[in-house]
Amino acid sequence: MAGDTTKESEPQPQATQAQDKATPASAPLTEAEVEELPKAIVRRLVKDKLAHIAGGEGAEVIVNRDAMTAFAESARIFIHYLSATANDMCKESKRQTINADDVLKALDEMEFSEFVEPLRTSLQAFIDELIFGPSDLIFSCALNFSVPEFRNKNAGKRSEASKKQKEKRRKLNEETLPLKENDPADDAENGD
Amino acid sequence: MRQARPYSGMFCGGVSARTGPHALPLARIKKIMKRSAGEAAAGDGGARMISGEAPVVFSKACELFIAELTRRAWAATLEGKRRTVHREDVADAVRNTDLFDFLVDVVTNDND
Repeated sequence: MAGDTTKESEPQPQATQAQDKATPASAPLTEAEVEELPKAIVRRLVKDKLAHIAGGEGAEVIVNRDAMTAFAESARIFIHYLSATANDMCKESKRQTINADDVLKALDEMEFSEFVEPLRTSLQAFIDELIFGPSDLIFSCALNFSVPEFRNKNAGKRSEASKKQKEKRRKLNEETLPLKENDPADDAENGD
Repeated sequence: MRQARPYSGMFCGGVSARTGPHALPLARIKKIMKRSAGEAAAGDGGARMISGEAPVVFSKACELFIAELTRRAWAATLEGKRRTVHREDVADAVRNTDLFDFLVDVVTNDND
């Protein structure tokens, strides 16, 4: 399908692509559509939230197609608003690269401060996973080899030890990671 | 002289680590961010670069936003004693929440 931008090099479940191709707007994405989030994902987010809050009340909750569109449109506007504000935050600090802090500051500015802490936590978890991999056991084994703790924790409390090691490593790595500072590496990033 | 950063490749090359089963596509988010930032920065001398972790925060922020909007829309649905969420419920949620003032034009385009 010409112009079908669902073919991204992002790990997406196959269902998403199939669903996007099956939507009524199966022509090449318009300018406005390209700026929208995949409907399938918005749909899943909405339905999951509803399952959470409405679950246990028996019958399933239905979402009208128009309502789903409203959710998707709202998310799109939110992204634009957040982008523009984050860009302003970045400008204020006289940097060239929009980083996570700019986004978090923007949320404060937009009065979505309640999001900030959960986002920090998520971000840290994401970074930890990036560095240590989902199978933290392998890394903690490699890193802990000479640590006496390791032997004690070995008997069943492995995850706790690796969490502590993660914390130590994280603090060490914060100095070397190109996350918070304006790095030459950031400028090399082409942003694709 | 740049010091060796073992994992910098991951950030420079674009972050594609999984961020969860409901992850929004980072590439598209990045595109949207650049477009918005580009428009805003038009007088500024060019579009801004976007760091590796920014789309991640964005993606999660969107999830939280959608969750909050859903929660409020559902409250409106309940008030109407229904089980189906209609566009009007979303409109009500927007109208009743100061935080969602920026959405007021998007949703309420049908007759009230």
